[in-house]
Amino acid sequence: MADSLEKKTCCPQKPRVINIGLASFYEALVSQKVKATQLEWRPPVKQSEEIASLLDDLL
Amino acid sequence: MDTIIVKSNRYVDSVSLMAVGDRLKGLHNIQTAEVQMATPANRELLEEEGFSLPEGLTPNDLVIAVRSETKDQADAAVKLAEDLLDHKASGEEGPVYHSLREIDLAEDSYDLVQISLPGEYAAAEAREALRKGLDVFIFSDNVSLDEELELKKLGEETGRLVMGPDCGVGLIGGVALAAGSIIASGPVGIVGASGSGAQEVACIIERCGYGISTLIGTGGRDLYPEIGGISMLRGMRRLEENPDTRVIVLVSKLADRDVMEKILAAADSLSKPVAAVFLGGDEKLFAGHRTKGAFSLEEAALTAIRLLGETPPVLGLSDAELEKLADKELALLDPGQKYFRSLYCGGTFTEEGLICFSRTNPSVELYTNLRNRYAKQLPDHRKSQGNTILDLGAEDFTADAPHPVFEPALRLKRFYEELEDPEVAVILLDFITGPGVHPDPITPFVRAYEEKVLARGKKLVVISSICGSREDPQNVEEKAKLLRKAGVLVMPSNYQSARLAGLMMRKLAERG
Repeated sequence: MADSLEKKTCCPQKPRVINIGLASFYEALVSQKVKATQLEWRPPVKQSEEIASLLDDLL
Repeated sequence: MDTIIVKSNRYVDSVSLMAVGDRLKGLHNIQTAEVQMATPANRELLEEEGFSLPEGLTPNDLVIAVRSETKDQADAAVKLAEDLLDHKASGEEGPVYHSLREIDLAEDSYDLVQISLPGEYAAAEAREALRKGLDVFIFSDNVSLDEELELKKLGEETGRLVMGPDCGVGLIGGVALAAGSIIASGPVGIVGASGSGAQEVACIIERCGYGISTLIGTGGRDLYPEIGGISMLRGMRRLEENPDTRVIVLVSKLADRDVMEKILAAADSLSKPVAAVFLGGDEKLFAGHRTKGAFSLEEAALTAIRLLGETPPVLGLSDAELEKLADKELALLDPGQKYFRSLYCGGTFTEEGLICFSRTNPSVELYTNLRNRYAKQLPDHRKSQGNTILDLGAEDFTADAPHPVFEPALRLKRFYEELEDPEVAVILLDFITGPGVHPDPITPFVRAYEEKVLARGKKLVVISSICGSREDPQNVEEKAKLLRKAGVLVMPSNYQSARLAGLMMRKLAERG
C-alpha cells in the first residue's frame, strides 16, 4: 500500500481538505478558496461489549 | 417560559455553539438562550441560569435552551438555532458526509484531513484518514501519547504525514491550516514542533520580503523520546523532495537530547541547507553538524534568509536606541509603578520571553503559570504578583474557556485587571492573526488601553508584537497603526518585544 500512496504529490499545490470538528476552520478554508468538505460528524454510539461481540459474530 | 430542545448524539464544537447562542440572545423578545453540549460543566451552567434539564443527558447531546414570553418566540429562536447548526454542518452545496467511510476517494479526491474533535475521538478519525491514504492534521489535544505513536507509525506504513496531535499551525500548498497565517510563497520550508514558534519564523521571513514553500507542524510532543521525531523526520524528507524549497528551517523548544541529535544527524544527510532553533538550547547542540544553529525565533528566520544567499534587513533597535526608548518611556511613570506583566497567548512566545528575561535579568524575581526552570510558579494563576509572565493559552486557563487566539475575552479581562493595578508599569501582549482565529484580536485591547489609561491621563507602557501576515484577514498593517496611534510600542518580533521588556524590567528593578 505504501508504494502506491507515495506516488501522491508530496506537497500538493492547493490541498483538498476534509475538515472534522471546528466549523470556523472549515470557514477559514472556504475563505481561502480551498476545496473543503465539512463532515457532519457525530460521536459514535457506545455499545455494550455483549452487543459488540454479537455483531462481530454476525459480521 | 423556558423551552429545552435536546438533539441526541449531535456534536458541534464549542466555538460554533457560542456563536449560535449569541445570535439567539440578540433576538427580539428572547430573555436568554444557551446552545451547549450537555457536558457536566455546561449542565451546571444551564441549571444555574434556571433552566430545568431532562434526566439522562450525556455529553454527546446538544441542548438548545431558550427563555421567552411566548411559545411562538421560542419556536422562532429554536428554528434559527437549527438552521444555523445545519448550515454549519453541511457547509456549501454538495453531499453531506457523516464519516470518512462514506467518502469515495476514487470519486471525490482529497489530500488532507484536518481534525479538531475532542481528543478522545480524534485518533479514530485520524486512523481512518491514514488508511485512506490521506495526510492528517490533528489540532485536537488530549490524544494519548500511545495513540500518537500508533498514528505516526501508521503514517510511516502508509507514507503519509501526521501533523499533530496538538498541532496549531500549518501552511500546505499556500493554504493556512487551523490557526496558521496565509504567508507569501517562497523558498523556505519549515518543520515546527512548536506552533506559534514556527508561525513567527514564517511571518518574519515574509516581513523581510521572502516567503514560505510549506510549513509542516508536528505537534509539541513529536520530539519526546517515545515518539522520536517521526513527523519532523518525515517533514524534512518532504521538504527535501519539494522543488519549491531551497532552505529548510526546524523549530522546536528544547527537546530530548537524543531525539534532537537524531534530527540533526538526519539534517546532515539532506542536500539542502538547514537552520534550526531549539529554544533554550546553546551552540553545543549543533557541534559536529552542518545545521546552522539559531537561538531565537527571529534569528532562525534571519539565518534562513542568509542560507538563501541573501542579506536580511536589521530588525529592531540597537542596544543604544533601546536604552534611550526604555528611559524615555519609564521616566513618565509614577514611582509606585514597578512591575512587569506579560499576557501571552502563544506558548512558544511565553517560552522565548521567559528565556530572554531570565538571561538578561538573572537577579529579578519572575513568576509564571507554567512549570519551568526560568521562573517561580504563581500560587494562583488568576492573580499576578511581582513580575508575572502568563501563558493564557495554557491548560489552567483553557480548561474552562476557549484558547485566547479564538476568543480573547478572558485575556482582555485580565488586561483590564492589570491596567487597574497601580503597581504595574509595563504590560507585554502578543497578537496572533490568521483566517482560523478571532477576526479582530487587537482592537479591543487598544480600546481598553484608551479607556483605562489614556482617558484618565495615566501612563503605563504597553509593548506588543503581531505574529501575522499581509494576507491575513485581520489587516495586520492597519492594526499595527491603530496600536501605534494609541501609544502602544509595536516591535517587529516577539524577541524584540522581550528584549525591550527585559531591559525595562531591569531598569524598574534598579529604580527600586
